[in-house]
Amino acid sequence: MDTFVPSLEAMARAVIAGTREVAARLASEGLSARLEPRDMIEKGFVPGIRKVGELWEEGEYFLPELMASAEAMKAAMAVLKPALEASAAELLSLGRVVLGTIEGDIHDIGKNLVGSMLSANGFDVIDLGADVEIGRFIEAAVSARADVIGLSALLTTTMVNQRRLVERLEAEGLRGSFKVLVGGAPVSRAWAAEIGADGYGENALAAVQAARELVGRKDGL
Amino acid sequence: MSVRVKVLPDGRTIIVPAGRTLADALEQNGLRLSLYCGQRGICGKCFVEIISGEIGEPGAIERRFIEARKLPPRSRMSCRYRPGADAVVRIPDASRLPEMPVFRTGIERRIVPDPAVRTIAVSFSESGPTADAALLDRIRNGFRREKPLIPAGLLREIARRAAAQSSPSPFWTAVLYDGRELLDFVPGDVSGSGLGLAVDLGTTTMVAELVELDTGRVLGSASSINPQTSFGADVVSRITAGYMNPDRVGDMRDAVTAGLNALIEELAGSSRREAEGIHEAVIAGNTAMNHLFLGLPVATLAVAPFAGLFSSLPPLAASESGLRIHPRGKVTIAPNIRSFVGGDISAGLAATDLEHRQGNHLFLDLGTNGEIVLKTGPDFVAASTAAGPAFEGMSISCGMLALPGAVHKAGIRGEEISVRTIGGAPARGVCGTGLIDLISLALRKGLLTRGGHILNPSKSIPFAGTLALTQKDVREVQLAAAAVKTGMRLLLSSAGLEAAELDGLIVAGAFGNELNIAHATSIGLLPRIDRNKVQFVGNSSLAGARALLLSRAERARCEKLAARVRHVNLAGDEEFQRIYIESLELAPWP
Repeated sequence: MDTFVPSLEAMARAVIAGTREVAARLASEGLSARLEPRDMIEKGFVPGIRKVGELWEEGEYFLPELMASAEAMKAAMAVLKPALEASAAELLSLGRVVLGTIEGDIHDIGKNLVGSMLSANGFDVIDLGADVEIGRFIEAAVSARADVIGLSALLTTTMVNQRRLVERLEAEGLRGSFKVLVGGAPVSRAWAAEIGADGYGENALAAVQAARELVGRKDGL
Repeated sequence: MSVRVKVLPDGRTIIVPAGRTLADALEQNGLRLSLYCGQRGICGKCFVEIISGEIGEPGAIERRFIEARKLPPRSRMSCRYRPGADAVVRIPDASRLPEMPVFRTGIERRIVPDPAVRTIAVSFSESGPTADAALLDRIRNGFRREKPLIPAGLLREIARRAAAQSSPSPFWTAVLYDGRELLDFVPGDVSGSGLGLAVDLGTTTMVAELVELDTGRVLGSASSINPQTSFGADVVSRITAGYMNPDRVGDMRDAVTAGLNALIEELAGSSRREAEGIHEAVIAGNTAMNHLFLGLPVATLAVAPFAGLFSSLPPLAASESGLRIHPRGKVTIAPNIRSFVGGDISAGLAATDLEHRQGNHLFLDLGTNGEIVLKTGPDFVAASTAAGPAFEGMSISCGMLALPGAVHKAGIRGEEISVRTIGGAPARGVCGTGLIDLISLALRKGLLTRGGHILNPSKSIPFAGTLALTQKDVREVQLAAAAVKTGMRLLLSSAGLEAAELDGLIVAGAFGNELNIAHATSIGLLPRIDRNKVQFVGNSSLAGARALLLSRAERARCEKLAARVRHVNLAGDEEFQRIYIESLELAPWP
């Protein structure tokens, strides 16, 4: 019986083009053709999302393209993940990020983009939403045994709450348990350093890069 | 028994029921006279000349005015004249209610002056049968009815002024606030000299106008940078400053009052008037500016749910506000609608008379924040979007305010983009309107994709000499336009409306009246709409402040409207993100 075998290049292209349906279809066609899920991810879809990162850096891609590519990646992963052996899934996961927009702030497009890009790049993301109390971040991080807490703040008035979270972690003796990643329009590298955060992402892709460094996995998936 | 009165120069004949005043009958027939003192019979503004017919019996006040103002001998105040037989009267222009334009350019809108502050000449007799009555009673009785409040401090001053007179003056001029409070009382007839101040209190720029209250004439205008800028350039950083350190609120208040006082001095000087002659100021600012002007804490505006401390306030005493106008004068603040839709917007709605427009209208005030108000039939809904400063030329590599040398228009000549600068000066940068033109033309010339990617090998869009837009500049415009477009789209869809169903689109703010509609539409900043339905009104906040200053009726309507406007939080809309991302495309509306 002839089986259509999709190419790894086509998988990369589906992510670059941000065509979600195509990415999902290629993933399931690959499974039917008995391609290794891990190969499809590492040699097909991941090179695609890497290329998207480059196109963003070069200024060719902007938020809509980024969002569409992240969606395509997510659709492919949704097909492939159940087919992975548990050990492989563990190996492929870069880490777990508890993410949210900080207390007092309701803006969440930026945070959503970061979440999409983190999961497109292999992180497990637990998105707590917007206007998230500091206590909830910590509870969620503890119960999910997260590696990273990601805090978005879009207002100069609310970014002060990022500092409060770091202070609370210290007071509760949990500072060593989680890496703290901060971002948002008014946030800067200097601010991150001032409040003792571990990482800073100027935009969604920079946040992915910073998260990789925080979990010691510069290599990607 | 009614009588017939022919009115000249109108040539109309009206019926006056027996016992009624001519003023009432004229009013009823739509012939509007200046009934300045509210028909108390004291201001002498509604005189008519009785050409033929009985003149009746003029009262003492009428006789005094006729003599003092050298009026025709057969003159009567129409609020006192009850014609007992057919007559012919002539209404002099001075007695008619003037109409004044709200906008100096742009849309045609006229209002009738009805200022809260009125300067009325009253007779204040020193002799006669009531000479032994208390001074205060004599003054108050001069107003006949609705006797005004007289502050004790003012009474002291009046007594001093009366004592200083070598011979008693037949007239004194009362400065009356809203018909019920005496702000001042000075010897002589200086009626009609009332001055007011209209202020657009912007986060970046403040503009003040000195206005004659009885005519609406603008004697001068002055503007400056809001001195609070040193505490933060934009409204959120201003709020942050006050939130992090409450002492800063007082400092910011002092800064803005000092800045406004400098404008007041400048205006008084250039118009050769006394600042003390200004009896009322109307301030139209965004909610945060209004709070800071009053020295109110802004902590609640800083974090969700972003509640303000007030929306509407009664007029406050000038002495309390810190403004150096007449110390007993009043300062009125245009009502805030919500935390991020402030008095500048309610003033804009008043100026453009959105309430009385038929059908569906969208009001858009573009600045660093884009405020949007949609009127559908009797319903009003408002929202604000964070457009950022791109349209004001900020955050753009070669951006600048709309000042001489700014590229404000661009077109295509032959194959090349050609530009025009403000004042024809050599190009120094690009302002908001020029930016929109350039982006639209770059799209048309294929230098730019709809996704906003510059295809030019140079990765820039050159437009004048060495000036060029960068990839990041294009991204800034995309973000700003998308915020505004998303707001408009969500408001329209919440009302179940398509843009094509709009009867009007009013654009106030940053673009003045320069914006090229076709270009703005091609990148989706404006919806696809018949260009005849688009009106540019410029600084509608200032025009609104002036309308509120000049008319109590406008003020009352504005208060009511502000309380009625429903506010929606766009970020809370589940469609927000999808539409926002979609709107980043530089494309006309779907």
